[in-house]
Amino acid sequence: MPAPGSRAEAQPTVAAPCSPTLFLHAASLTITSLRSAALAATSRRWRMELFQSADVVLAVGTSLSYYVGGGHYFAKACTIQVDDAPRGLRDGQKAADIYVKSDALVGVEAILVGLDKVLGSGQTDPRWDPHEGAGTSHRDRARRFDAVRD
Amino acid sequence: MSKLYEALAEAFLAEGVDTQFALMGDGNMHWTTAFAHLPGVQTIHVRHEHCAVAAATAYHSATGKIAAASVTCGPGLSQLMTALPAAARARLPMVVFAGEAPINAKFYNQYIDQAPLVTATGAHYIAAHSVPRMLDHVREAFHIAKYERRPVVLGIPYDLQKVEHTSNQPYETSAIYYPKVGRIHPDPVIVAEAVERLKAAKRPIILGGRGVLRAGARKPC
Repeated sequence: MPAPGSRAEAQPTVAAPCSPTLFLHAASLTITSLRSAALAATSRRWRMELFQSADVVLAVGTSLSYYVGGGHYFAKACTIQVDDAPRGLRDGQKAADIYVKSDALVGVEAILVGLDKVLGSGQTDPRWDPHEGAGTSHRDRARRFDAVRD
Repeated sequence: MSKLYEALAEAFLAEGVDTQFALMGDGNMHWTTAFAHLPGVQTIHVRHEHCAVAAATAYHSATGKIAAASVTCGPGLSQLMTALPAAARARLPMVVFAGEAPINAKFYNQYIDQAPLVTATGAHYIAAHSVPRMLDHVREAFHIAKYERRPVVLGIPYDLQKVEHTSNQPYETSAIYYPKVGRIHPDPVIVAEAVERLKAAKRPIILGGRGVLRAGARKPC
């Protein structure tokens, strides 16, 4: 039985299911301010942990090039790519496991309709707590995650 | 009667270019000046050719508009070898107006074969050497840039830029030639497979790229 507040007790909290998280990747954008760079640095560790613990990645409207992971960020995850020009082999590595060739909006709507059918209309899988992290910034969530980790 | 470089500038404007990032030299000075004098456009002068393309890249990322840069021939163009691959890998719609050495000169010390340099970066190169077809070259450049989403360098010998523009035909933009295919719909079988995977997921992540914005994503009501 782990002691209250110990690392051993904290681990299950880290491993617990979390809400789906949206990242708008900025791999090709220019970082225009120190503020952006500082935020990126703060949340990087948290982001990497999250990527590595993911079991499914739904990648929408991204080519999944080497710079967006190309498998090495989320090697264990099943990657679903929704893109109008998917390529199986991208920058010398497998881009995704499932390719949904589609306009991003139409593809996501089709997936949502499919999820509605299996989960119930407008329902969220109870394992995906939609309120987890609500009202907090990514920076706060990163701090909290790091606090649990450390 | 106007000069060809003026018609070229107006063609860029018709294609939706409202901002140019430029470093002037003899190969692009006439065009850059003509474009800068057009109504509603902005000219941003940079101190290195690399910056012209890098700034145009950022401009597209920030605004979604077609990116345009301008550099001179030879040594000017050769400075793009770092910024152009980045734009090509990011699949950016960009047109770079580049001068070329005068095609009718016996010798020109800035001459280099520009096409292999540009294509080595992953960008497309159009050597516009036909005066009667000059605006067709512009249209093709924008069509490739917008439709295939890749940077295009339009190389025009600067002695040809200064000839009289005799055509009185209005410029037809590349948009006229886009195939109207509508939004691409997914295969229901593949969608069902994706849904099954998502349903079974314990720690799903949604990763959104620029295609999300192009598809018209917005905040939920």
